Amino acid sequence: MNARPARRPGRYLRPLRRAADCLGALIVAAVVMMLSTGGAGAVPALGPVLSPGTGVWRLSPDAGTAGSATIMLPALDKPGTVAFETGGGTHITAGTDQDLFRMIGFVDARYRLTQMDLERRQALGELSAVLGKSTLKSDTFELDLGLNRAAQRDWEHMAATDPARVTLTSYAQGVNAAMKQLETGHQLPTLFKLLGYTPKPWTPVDSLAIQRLMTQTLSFSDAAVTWSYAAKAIPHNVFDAWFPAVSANPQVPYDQGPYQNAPLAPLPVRADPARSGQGPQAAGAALPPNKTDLPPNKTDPNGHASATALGPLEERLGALPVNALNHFGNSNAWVISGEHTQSGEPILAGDPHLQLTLPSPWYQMEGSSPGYHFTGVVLPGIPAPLMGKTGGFAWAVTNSQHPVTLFYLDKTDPAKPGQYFWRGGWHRMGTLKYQIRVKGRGTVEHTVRFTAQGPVLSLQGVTASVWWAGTLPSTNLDSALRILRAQSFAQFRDSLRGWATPSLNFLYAGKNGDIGAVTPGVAPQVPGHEIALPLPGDGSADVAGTIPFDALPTVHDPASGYIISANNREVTGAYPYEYSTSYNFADPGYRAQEIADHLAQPGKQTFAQTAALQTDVQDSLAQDLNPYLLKALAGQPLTGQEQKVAQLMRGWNGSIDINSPQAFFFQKLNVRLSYVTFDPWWKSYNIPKDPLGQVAMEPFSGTFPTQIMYGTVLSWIQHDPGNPFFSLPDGTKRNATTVLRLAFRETVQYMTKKYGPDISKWRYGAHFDRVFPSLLSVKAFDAGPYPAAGDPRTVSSGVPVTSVQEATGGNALVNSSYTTNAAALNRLTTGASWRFIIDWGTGQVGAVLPGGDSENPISPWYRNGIPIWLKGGLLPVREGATADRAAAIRWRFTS
Amino acid sequence: MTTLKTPPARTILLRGATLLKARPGRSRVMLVAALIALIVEFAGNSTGLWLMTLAAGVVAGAMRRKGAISGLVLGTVLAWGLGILMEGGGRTLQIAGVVSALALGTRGLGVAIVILAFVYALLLALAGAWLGAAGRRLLAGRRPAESPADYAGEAPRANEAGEAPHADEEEKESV
Repeated sequence: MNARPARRPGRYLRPLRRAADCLGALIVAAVVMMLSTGGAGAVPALGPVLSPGTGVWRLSPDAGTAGSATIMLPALDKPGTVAFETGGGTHITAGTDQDLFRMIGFVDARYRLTQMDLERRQALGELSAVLGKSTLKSDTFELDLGLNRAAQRDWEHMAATDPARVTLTSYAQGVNAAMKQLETGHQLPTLFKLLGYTPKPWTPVDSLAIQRLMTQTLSFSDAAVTWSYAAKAIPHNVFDAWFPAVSANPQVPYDQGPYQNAPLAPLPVRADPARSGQGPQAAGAALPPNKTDLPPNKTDPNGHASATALGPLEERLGALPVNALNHFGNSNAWVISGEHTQSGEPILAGDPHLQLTLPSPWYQMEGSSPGYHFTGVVLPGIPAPLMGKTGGFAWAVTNSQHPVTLFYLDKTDPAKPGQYFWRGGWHRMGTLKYQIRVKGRGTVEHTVRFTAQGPVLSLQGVTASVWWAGTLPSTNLDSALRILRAQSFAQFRDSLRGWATPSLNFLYAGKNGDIGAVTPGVAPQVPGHEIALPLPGDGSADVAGTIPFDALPTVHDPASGYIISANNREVTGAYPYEYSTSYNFADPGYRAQEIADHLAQPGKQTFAQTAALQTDVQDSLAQDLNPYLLKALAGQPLTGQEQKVAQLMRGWNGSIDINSPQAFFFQKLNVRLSYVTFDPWWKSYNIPKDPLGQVAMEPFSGTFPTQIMYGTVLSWIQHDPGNPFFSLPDGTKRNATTVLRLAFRETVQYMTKKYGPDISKWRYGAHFDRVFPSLLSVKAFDAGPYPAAGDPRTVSSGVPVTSVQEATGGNALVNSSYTTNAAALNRLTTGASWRFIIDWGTGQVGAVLPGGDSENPISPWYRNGIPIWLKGGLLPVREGATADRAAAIRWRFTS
Repeated sequence: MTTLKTPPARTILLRGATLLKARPGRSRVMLVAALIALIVEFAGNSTGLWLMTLAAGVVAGAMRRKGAISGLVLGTVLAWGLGILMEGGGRTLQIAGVVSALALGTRGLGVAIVILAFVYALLLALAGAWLGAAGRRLLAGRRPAESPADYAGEAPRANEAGEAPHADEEEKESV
């Protein structure tokens, strides 16, 4: 008899255990699959990111592993080559002109695809689709401004045979060929893999959008809003005395007249609906209005906004990425005629100042084809160089900082929602609706509203719309292509007739000896109104036209033998049109003065002297002010510490050197001098502090207005020492000398307390540093900090345009602006984004980018230019056979 | 003088087949599983099919062989390690540093990114293995009686009490 085995006690539980087992396995597998394919929150999809074959481990091919290769570029007409020097200098030789632009597109995409994609997304208002809600403010602002609409309109208006259209198409083919190769080889840059998206194919509209974004960086200014606080609070005559139309310090306008007083030219708007009162003047078509729930306007019965009503607008502008607004101008360019050079032929120098990002805003290359030959810098995303040289001439540009951003305060009525008052009647605002994709959050609807002036930027506090020249039709690429074929200055200048925006100073040095300059671009005129301040939007201050091209600043072979442009006002006070003022937004002109002083010295100029001048840190304001300070202190009873400092300042030459304690003391003294002079009046006029703190009197840190006040105070000290504003509002008498002494004493006290009594430790470079921030504001990808030299008034200058996000480790494309953080104000992040010099007599050409060709942080070409840049050095610019001999890597292109 | 005789190919194949047919020991199973996982996962990763790691786990989990899971772990580490090294080479840690900077804000945690990759790979493999094992157990539970066929060629071994091992008990060794 067989005994039945005893039943196990858990037998009936077994099915349950198995079910739980299965369920657990399924849940874990599902979680793992979710993490693998979709990520979670900030965690990217781990499968494609970490997998060895397709993930981050596969290097993008520019990360120092690039070698000679044969590359298929299907759209190519003929074979071509790209040769790279050891340090990354790029030389493109193409069989046809269009092949040249295809290969430029290919090279740009291979080395700068992240930069190109993020910038086009910023311009088109599509950042949030990949970066999430942190970039929503940027996207809504760009959609308001309408770079996307302007780019699309430009493209649609290009004829099929338009050289610009053909070139843009070729360029896009090159970019897309590179993108396809990177994608097929799973070699897209790391950021795409981490963010989990593949860049969409490049289109000509993308290139035009990037062009518009640079236009915005150079010309969209909030100065009118910022200055409105002071302008509303101070009597007109006082405002003019403090902030004169032309800065009080010596000016070096390159066009000294005589000037034409020609009738205004119409704006380059193909269909200007504002003229007939039908709709928006800015780019893009407005849909019929359908919103009636607008918040009430906070203007007074006359439609005038109070100063504080502009706060929300300023806050909105202040929250934008650094490159969304023009906050500073520090570019330099000058040409010297052969009569003043040792070589007997012209010398040209250019150093455009921008935010010194890594990767650089520029890509330097030589391009050769049957119809073109140039060496210069292109903006990745745009096919043609903006600066450089051809076989016959060289050119450089600086920003012409006259107002092209006009803010209008619109009259609205709570009883008439969605309407604004214009030209005697109530009009409905035009509207456009956008669905903005936001990563992880679906879509957000955004409505763009238009008045006759342009898009409405603010509905809170006050309804403010903006007329901005940056979205007007402009033939930039066509001009750039025509420039490359110019044979003379006359042809060069003529190439720029259609260039509407941004307004730039183009300086020219011909191999044949002629030199010249021209400032093309729309300069809006509103007769009877101050265009540098917010304007009434009721139709009384509409733009009447622009200065005609032939009346814009220009010069050819001037008698002085040189032309200088350093963002300073290009014309004298006799210029018969509304132009830049000291406060909107021309540079005060110290750098131009410093360059002029150097060029006026006896002797012939050389390449080496020009290179030294590009890195000059002489502060002409300091040079001029220091003798007055020492004179004021002479014979005065001073404390021991004051005597030490006074002794230190004796014999100082005004150089803002890294090791100079005088330079650091002077920076604080200069700020204090303005503060001591103006703060009592500032308070007496009750000038409100703006939300971003830009219009403020700070005891020891410079703000926006003080930059101009430095020149005003120096001018009074020099020419009007008894100026009534040195005295106090309560009638207490003071003069230049007493104010100088007071500022000195207070600065010594402050410095001693804050930095210690040992004045040898007050070294400038110990307190000011320079950082080359990564475009993504990933601190680990920054270069620096390095001890800094120079200030905003020196030729080699730096401005602390530091984003809030840089301090907090955020993304440069996210929500950033000026900061008044004291530590950040001592960190310089702008400077010469390219230094370039050519001597046509010796044939010597040198250039340096503060960075490298590659955007990949582990590439040897990511930051290799920085050590040379910091030392003020230049790399030789090689061309043709010389470049070929220096080539270390060659890509041979076949179709 | 001795001469080295190379066995004919047929002999080699027969020996191989015999090895596979024979009841393999734990270490042999582990080696075979590791080799298969290495090949399958490496090939999968190279072609973008990173899910092959999960699939390899499912297969290993479905097997009732001691050593299969150890082999899976070994094969996975080798496949991913080899793949990462082949792609990144001497720059592997630099690349990891870039990822670390973008994801964590510092370049110094590159090693953590490499470790994360391995942890993730093992997570994939073991999640697959659990899935495979759970599926196997589920199917085994639906059968009317346990049979030697369940053991896929491996005879059940007696436990210390002289009883045939219960399916659940053996699974504990696998997963």
